[in-house]
Amino acid sequence: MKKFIGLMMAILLTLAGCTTTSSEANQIVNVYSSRNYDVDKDLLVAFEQQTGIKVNLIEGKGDELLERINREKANPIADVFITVGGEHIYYAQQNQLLMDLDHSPYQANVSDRLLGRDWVALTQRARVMIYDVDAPLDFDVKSYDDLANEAFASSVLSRSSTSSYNIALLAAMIQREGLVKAEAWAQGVTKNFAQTPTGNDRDQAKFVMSGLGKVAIMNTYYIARLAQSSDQEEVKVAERIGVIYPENTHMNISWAAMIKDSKNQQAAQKLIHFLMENEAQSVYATKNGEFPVLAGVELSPILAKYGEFDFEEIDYEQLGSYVIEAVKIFDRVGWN
Amino acid sequence: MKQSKWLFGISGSFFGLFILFVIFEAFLRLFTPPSQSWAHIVEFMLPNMIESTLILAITTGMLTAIIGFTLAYFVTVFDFWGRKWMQLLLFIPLAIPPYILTYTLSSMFSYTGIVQTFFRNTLQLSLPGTFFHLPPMPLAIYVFVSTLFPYVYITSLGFLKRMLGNYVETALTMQKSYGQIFKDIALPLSMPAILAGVLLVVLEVIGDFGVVMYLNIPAFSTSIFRSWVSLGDFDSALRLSAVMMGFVFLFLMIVGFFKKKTGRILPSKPRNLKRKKLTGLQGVAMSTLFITILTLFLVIPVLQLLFWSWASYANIRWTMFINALVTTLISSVLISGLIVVIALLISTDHRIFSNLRTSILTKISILGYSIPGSVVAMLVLFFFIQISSWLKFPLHTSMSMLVVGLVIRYLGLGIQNIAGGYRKIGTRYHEAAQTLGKSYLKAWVTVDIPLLLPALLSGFALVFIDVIKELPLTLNLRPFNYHTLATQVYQYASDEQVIEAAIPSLVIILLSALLIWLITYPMMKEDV
Repeated sequence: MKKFIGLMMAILLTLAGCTTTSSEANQIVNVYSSRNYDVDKDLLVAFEQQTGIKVNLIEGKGDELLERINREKANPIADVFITVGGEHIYYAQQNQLLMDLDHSPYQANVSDRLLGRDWVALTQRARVMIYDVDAPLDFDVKSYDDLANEAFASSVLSRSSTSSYNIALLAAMIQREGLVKAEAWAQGVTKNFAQTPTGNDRDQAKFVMSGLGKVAIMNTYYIARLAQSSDQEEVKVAERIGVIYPENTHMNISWAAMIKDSKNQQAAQKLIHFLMENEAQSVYATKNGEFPVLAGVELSPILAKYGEFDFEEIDYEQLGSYVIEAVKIFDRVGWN
Repeated sequence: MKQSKWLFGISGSFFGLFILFVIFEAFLRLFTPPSQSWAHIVEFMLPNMIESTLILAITTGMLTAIIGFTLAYFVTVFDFWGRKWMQLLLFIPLAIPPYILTYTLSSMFSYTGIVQTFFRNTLQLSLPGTFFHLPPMPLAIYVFVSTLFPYVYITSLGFLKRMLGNYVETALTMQKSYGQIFKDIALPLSMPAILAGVLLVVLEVIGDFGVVMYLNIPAFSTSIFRSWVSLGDFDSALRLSAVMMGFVFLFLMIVGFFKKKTGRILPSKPRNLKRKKLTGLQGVAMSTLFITILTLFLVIPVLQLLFWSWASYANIRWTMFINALVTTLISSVLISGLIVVIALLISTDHRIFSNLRTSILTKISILGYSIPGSVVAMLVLFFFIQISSWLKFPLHTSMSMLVVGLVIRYLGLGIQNIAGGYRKIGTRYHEAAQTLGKSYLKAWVTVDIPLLLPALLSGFALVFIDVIKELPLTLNLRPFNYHTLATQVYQYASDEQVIEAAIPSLVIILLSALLIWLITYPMMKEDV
């Protein structure tokens, strides 16, 4: 019996020994990130090599990490928070989790809508409509509203309303055009669904190509990723995608911020500046197929091919306040 | 002599109470006024959630019972070509994490998958996309049945091999057919064993998150997640978890009741059964049945993953991969070992005292196994942050948080196995040792533990294959720079790079399969 307790204590203590505390070294930065991509890890390694600052990383889902930061508020562990989805800024600001950033190195080259006092966007992705170029659409589609048009009965494809991309899309619509119009739109789109929403963004493109529907809502990020796939069949799908940038195209942003009262503020600030430099922005654009936020950085060829477009002007800091209404609308209209 | 017994009582109560303490926050919500979103959740989400969860749990439970038990019966009473190795291979589908199988099958049948490209490119046949469309609910059931039926197969096989010999020969002399033996003898006698397997299946199904999330099925776990993340209402998420735990508690009671009702049969002495050799058409049919099941549930998904591994190995960051592999191996072994030890203490406590206290403790210990991992993760996280601020030591950045989380989540699985092991060995040997003057503790160590070894090992194996593929707890509770194979699979799969997820997936499957094989091989070797 004693042996067992001894053994358990030994295991627990050994494991507890793996603790990384922020006070051990002065040149470290603790990052909580929901951008679980290889290119992001490459960038962090490049930062370590360039500055000698050790990066400690915990990856997870954005909401869960944010909840964790909130709970750790009294004694913050994270220095930098990086996530996908502008709708999270609201929660972070409401709970006073962030602190002011020094935007001076890049401010002149970043649009005002992409930064705030205590956050800055790292990349953008456009939520667009796609079709099969081999099966052109019958009429000229100009806006998201056209998805609710009767002409598209049983032909619209989308992933589920659990997807944060769809929630942010509808939240942005509520912000821009109000609850009533947003609900009518969601209702109209739901009526036009070709099938119950299922699968992820890439799947929607594949559904279109296999003829399950005519038009789908999809993120440009995944079009770029399809084009770089290890699977030749996926590359072929990417080539057949026709992209429609609607009026007021919804832009999903990834953003970074510094955690209030964090212990390694200098290193944290350095890391954020590093991610906003030309090189890092160019990695996001070419290797990960996202829109850079820094002016003058070149797009990946596949995204450059689709040309200029008209994006929506929304207040990202308020976007999160419309999320609950958006989710409730989805439930009411039956968009699963 | 008495003191050593109390050691078990105290340690059993300690762990049970500790778990209760951690998950208590969820139950507290039942007594607070509901939040604003609760009415919305009850109106729009609750009915769907109960319906989907019931459909999944009942259908999967019944199908795994039928498939698992029938196959176990066939390999016990019949001899046919390939029986010896196929009965072992049937354990292996358990090594395939359900969420990996879901991605794999969905991709195989998608527009770019092997099935559609074969028709389109090789046969030049253009069939409508609807032809290949896999509807979410049946696909989820297929995934759960094909990866979880081994639970029933294992419990039934263990039972039938020990028990059936005594009855079959008598039945055969009474001119009973194998069909009648199946219906009148094997099935009713095996009910407790089947129920034990089905219980694990059902708990896995309702605790699952990866499959229902990917397929967008509004089950309990997805709805809990939706209330929390999308509606930003953590209170309601906990409230739903408490409701769910209530259901599970009820379910455990019902299963316990049935188990009692069906009673226990202790064999006088297990007798080896002479299997009937199937020849001719019967033999071919039986072998074909087994080959078909193995092909569908094991060979096809593994071949597809192998093919993707080949296509993607150039994109894998090998240093990261090796790191993850080593971390996975060390932590899975240590944590599974720890879980088995704690499960042993609680089961021994229950065996010694066997009163209301121990039976409630046992059921509490199983609760963690039945709620979604992400909820357990949050409860453990909050608990640790609280403790850390009391102790003024950042315990929540250490590995201990993940260890505690995994113990709470998988303790039930260990207890199920060990309690079953205790039932099997009974108390007679132990009592004999005690009459010979050994103390309780000494009798326990020298008599019970060796007899219990197979149960301890199989408990370890089952916990290990759950820990190695675990995601929500690992994602939320891990310390800095801690990556496992499962988090790599998650990273690629959540970025919709199913092909890149193939190599870590395959290694998870391989390691689990190896462990299952190591543990079942000696058991099966005896069987000639």
